[in-house]
Amino acid sequence: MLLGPITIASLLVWGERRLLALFQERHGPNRIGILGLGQLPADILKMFFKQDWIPPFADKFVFVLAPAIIMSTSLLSFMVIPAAPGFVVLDSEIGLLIFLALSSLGAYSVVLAGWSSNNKYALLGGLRAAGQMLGYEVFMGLSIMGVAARAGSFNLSKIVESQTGCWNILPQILGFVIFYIAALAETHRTPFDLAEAESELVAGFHAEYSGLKFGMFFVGEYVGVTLMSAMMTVLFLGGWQGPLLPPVVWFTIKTCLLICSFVLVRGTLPRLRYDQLIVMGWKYLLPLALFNLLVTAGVILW
Amino acid sequence: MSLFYVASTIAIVATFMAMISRHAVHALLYFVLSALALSLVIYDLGAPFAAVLEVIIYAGAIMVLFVFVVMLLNPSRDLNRKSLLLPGLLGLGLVAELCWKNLTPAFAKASAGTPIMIALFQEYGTLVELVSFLLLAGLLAAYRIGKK
Repeated sequence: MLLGPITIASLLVWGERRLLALFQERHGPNRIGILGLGQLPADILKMFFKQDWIPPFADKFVFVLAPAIIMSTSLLSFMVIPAAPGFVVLDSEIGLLIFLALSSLGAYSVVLAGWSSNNKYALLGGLRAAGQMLGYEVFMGLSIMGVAARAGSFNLSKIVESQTGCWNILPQILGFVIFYIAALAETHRTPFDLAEAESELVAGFHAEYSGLKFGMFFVGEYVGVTLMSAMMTVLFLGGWQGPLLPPVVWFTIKTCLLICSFVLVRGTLPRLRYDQLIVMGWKYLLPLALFNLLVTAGVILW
Repeated sequence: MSLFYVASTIAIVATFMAMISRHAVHALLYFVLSALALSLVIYDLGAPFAAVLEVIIYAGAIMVLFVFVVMLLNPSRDLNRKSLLLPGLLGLGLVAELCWKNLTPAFAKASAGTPIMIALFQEYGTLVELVSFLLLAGLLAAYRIGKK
């Protein structure tokens, strides 16, 4: 269960650059090995041998803790995701809530990294991450409550089973769009990568990080993308369901397509301003998510 | 039962440290720790649903709001490594406990919270409405202060 997400996430280091290049009519990394796949071990080796520097002015304990938080919370979230019938680590009745709890704890990673670096750019990045998190966390939770209401359960396996015949993306299209936007914000990717905004803040919250600690943030972002794609597959795209092919294959196909769409969005959209994201979250997406929940509840009770 | 005692001790110590910490962010980190320990206490009392809500709402949302405000105000820095030793050790206690007492079976058979919801919206419906009025009053007050 752990092997799948880590493999996909590390392949994304190469895959994202190739896909972005494709969208922008470039070649991307294609020199090392077949299709440039050798780029991946080359990058990993480079990361391993870089000097792992802890700034003397940093708050050392928090500085070391921060990258560990993002990796552990996003990897722990995978334990509640069912990839096939019975193929799940923890088939919990409150699986959806455990996912929400872990994702809200994951936000501390970026905030604490920015604060502990004791550097004004990093602090600004952490500050933006905290503000951003307040903006999206509420409507993210509300947008998937419609799905939970339709399935009558927080159990992710039961949610997948409730979608037999009609995937949630049709009746819950509003919820899907809102959750997709929240997922982009949750993983700190363009158009919501305000926390690292390299054109304004050097490298934002991880400006002081080097070596494997930077690698943890780097891969942690891709693990987050994989997690959010898997979650959207489970909640809206019928999870493992599909004709002919075995369930795990269907689940992987859907997840990979969603990951590609994340890369496409990154290649297409410009970055939003920090206040624009908060205004959008509280003034438009939160009422929309509430409206979606209200209509869903009304239809169920009718 | 030992889960309860260790977690509640950590909660009490962490809350106390949150009160006496000289550095605002360290105090907040102790506060987060105390929320996490409290959620384990609630879990051990047989309410995993409420325990998860505690993490989502308090440790996840409200404490981030606090951290946000503290960062905005940017209080004077007191970077002392020793002051972070204790929260680290207390947190390690929680982790060790999680490893030692395998929590997964109880989480797997946790109820989905349906009885809680029914109780909230039927038996205690009026009270929930009153509490939401209180929240509305807080919201209006914040709006009034914000407009000044």
